[in-house]
Amino acid sequence: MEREKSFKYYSQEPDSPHPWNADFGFTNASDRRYAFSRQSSFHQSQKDPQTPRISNFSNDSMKPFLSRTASSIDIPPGFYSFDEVKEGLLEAKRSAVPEKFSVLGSFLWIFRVIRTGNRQMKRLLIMISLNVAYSTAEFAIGLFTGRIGLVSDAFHLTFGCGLLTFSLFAMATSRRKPDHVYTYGYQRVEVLSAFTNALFLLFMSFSLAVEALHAFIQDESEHKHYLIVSAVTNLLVNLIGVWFFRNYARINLVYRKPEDMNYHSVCLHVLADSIRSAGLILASWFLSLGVNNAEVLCLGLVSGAVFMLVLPLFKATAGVLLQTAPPNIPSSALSKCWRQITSHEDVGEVSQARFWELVPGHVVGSISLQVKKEMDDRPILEHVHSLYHELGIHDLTVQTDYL
Amino acid sequence: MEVQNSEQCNIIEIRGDVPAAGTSLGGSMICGGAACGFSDAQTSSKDAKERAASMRKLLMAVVLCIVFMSVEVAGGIKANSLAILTDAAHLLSDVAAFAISLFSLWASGWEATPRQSYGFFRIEILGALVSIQMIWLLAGILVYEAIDRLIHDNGEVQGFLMFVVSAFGLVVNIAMALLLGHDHGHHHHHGHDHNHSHGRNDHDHHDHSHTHDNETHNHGLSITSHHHHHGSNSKHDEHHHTREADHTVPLIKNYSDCEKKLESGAPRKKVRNINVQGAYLHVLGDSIQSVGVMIGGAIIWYKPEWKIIDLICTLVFSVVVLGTTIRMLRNILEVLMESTPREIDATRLEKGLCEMDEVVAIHELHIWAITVGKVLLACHVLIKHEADADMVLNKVIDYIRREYNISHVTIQIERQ
Repeated sequence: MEREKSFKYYSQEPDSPHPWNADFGFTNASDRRYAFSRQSSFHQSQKDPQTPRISNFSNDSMKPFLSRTASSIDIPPGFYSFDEVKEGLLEAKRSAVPEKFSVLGSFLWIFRVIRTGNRQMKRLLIMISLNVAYSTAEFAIGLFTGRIGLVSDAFHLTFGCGLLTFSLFAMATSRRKPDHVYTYGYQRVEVLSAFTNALFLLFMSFSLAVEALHAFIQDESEHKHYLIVSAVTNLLVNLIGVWFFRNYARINLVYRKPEDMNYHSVCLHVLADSIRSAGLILASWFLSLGVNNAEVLCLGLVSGAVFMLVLPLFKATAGVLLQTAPPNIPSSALSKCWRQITSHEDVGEVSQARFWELVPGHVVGSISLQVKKEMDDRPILEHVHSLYHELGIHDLTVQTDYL
Repeated sequence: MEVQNSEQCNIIEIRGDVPAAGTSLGGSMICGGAACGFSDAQTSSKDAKERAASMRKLLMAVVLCIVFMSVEVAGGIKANSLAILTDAAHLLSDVAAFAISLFSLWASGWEATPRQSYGFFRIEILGALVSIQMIWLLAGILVYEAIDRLIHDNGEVQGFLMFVVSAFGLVVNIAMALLLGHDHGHHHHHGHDHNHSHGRNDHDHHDHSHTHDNETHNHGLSITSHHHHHGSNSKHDEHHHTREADHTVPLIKNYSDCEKKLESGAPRKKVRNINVQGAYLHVLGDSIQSVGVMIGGAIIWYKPEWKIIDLICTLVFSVVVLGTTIRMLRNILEVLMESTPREIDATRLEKGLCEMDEVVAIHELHIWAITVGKVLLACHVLIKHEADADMVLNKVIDYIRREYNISHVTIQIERQ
C-alpha cells in the first residue's frame, strides 16, 4: 500500500551515513532498543559516503542522466520529488489540514488509524480512550454527587485528552504526501503538536504555581481535600502511558526523526500528569500526618519539576519552528564547507548561506555563489551539492551569479 | 544625479536609481559572512516604523488595562466581592496576552545571527500562537467556572452584581478594541509607484502619525518637479518621500502593468500586524464573553430561578469566541507549516516561468512565508544548453519580483 511504502522510505533515511550520528543500524521504527544509545561502536559504514542516495534508489539509475522531472545535480529528491507534486496537482484542492468535521468521519478515521497505524499510534489511541473513559466517568460522578474537585479534575483531563488527540491526528497527518500547497509535505505537524504539548505543560506548571500561591495565602480552614481514589486512578492510567512511551522518558533528547519530537512530547505529557497526581497524593498524606504547609510544598515542587521537565523540549521545538540553523550540525562543519567552497578556483564569494530544519533530520538550505563566467557550471554545482550532502543537507538550492 | 535651477521657482531634478534591492546585481545584499540580514535597508526601516507604531498601540492598551485592573482590584477588596476580583484576574490575563504580543513585536526586530539566518520574524507568529492558546484556555476556564457557579448553588441573588461587573468589563474592552483596531482610512496612492517593500500588498499599517508608506522606488529615471520658494536652498531629503505637490513621472516606464495592478488593488484589504490582530481578537473575545455574562446576569436578576441560563450563555458565547479565532489560527498554521501563501498562485507562476524562451522546465519549486507578508522562493530552473545563464537568471528574478513581489529568491540554473 502506498502509505506503507512512503513510511518505509522514511525509515530508510537514517541509513545515510552521517559521521557524527551514532546509530547506523537503526532501520526499523519499532526497533527501539538502539534508539538513543550512545555507543559509537555502532558504525556500519558499508556504503560509500560519496554517493549514498544513488545506491538506495537503484531503480532510478536506469533513467537518462538528466531527466526532466528530477534534477541529477541534486541527490534524487526521494520523498519530496516534484513529479509527485504534479500528480497531486490534478486532484489537489486547497484544503486546510482538518477537513469537514463529522461524527461519522471521525469514527472512520479512528478505524483507519487502528488498521494502518504503527505501534506507537495504536498505543496512543489506547491511552486516549482510557483517558476519555476515565474523565467522563469522573465528570458524571462529580456532577451527581456535587463534588467540585472531581469536576475540575475531569476538566483538566479533558484538556489533556484533547491535546493527545491532536498528537494522534498529527501522527496520522504527517504521513501524507506533499501536495501542491504544502510543497514540503505535512511533516511539520508533528513539530507543531510537540510545541502545543510543551506549551500546555508550561501553562499547567504555571497554574500549579498559582494554586500553590493560593493555598499559601489562604488560611487552613479552606483546604481542598483531594480525593485519593481519583488521584490514584489518574496516576495508574498515566503510568501505563509512561510505560508505553518509555523510550522517550528523558529530558534531553537528540531528535533524529520528526516523530521523535511528537513521541517525546506525549511521554512528557503523561509523565507530568503522573507527577501531578503523585504530588496530590503526597499532599493529602502529609496533611493527614499533620504537616501544615504540605499543600504548598507539594504543589510548588510539582510545578517546578514539570517546568524543568518541559523546558528543553519547548526550546527545541521552538527552535525548529523559528527556522533556526540545525542544532546537530556544528557551525564549525558549516564554516569548513564554506571555506572549501571559497577555496575552489572558480568561486568568488559565497553569500546568503541559510539552513533550516523542516523537521529534525531534514535540513533545507539555500546558498548563493559568485562564480567566474564560463559555459558549464555543472562541476561547481555538483561539488557544492556533494559537500553539503556529506553534512546531511539534501535539499539545497544553489544560485550562481556570474561576475 | 541632480540638475537644479535654483533661480527659478520650479526645480527640476532628475533622479537615477541604482536598483539597490537586487540580490545579484547590487552590492548591498552581498555580505561576506555566513549569514546576512533578511531585509535590506529600505524595508527594514519601513518595518521598524510599522513595528514602532504597533508597539505604541499595544503599550497604550497595556497601560489602560493595568489602570482599570487596579481600579477593579481596589473596588473588589473594598466591597469584598469575589465576582469583581475574578474579573480583575481576567484583566490580568489580558495584560499577560498583551505582554506576549509586545514582546513578540519587539523581538521580531532583532538582527539576524548566524544561527537564526532568517532573522527573528517568526517570533511574531509563535507569539500569536501562544496568545490564541491562551484565549482557548481562558474560554475553557470560563466554562468551568460557569459549571462551578451552577453546582455551588449559592442561593443569594448574584444577577445584579454579575450585570454590573460585566458591563464595566464590556466598556473597558470596547475602549481597548477601538484603540487597537483603529486605522486611518487614508491610503495614499501616487501614480506609477511601484513598491519594493515586502509588506505592501497585505501588510499596510497606518499609524497616527501619518507616515506616507509609499516608497517610490522607480527603476530608471524620473523627473520630479518641486515647487520651492525663491531663493531657498533646496535641501532635498534623499528619502523617497514625495509630497503632494510633486508629480513624479517616470521617464522610462519599465513596468507597464504596474498601473493596472495598482488600480485593481485600490480597494485592497488592510491587514494589521499579526500581533496587534491577536491582541484585538483577545479583547474582542473578552467583550463577547462580557455580553454573554451580562445577558445571563440580567436574566438571573429578572428571574432568579433560571440558573442554568448562566451556563448556557457562557457555553454559547465561548463557542462564538473560539469561532473568531479560527481564521487567524488557520493563517498561523499555514505559515508554520511552510505552505505556499494564499495570495500567490504557484501554478500561474510556474506556467509564466515556463513560457519564457530559454526555460525548459521548473522543478522543486518551494514558496513559503517567513511571516505574514514576507515570502521566499526557491526553485531549480532547467534551461536550454546554449542559453546564457546569467541573462536567464536575471530575467527569472525580475519576473518573479515584478509579478509576485517576492524579492527573496534563490534560483538554481541547470543546463540540459
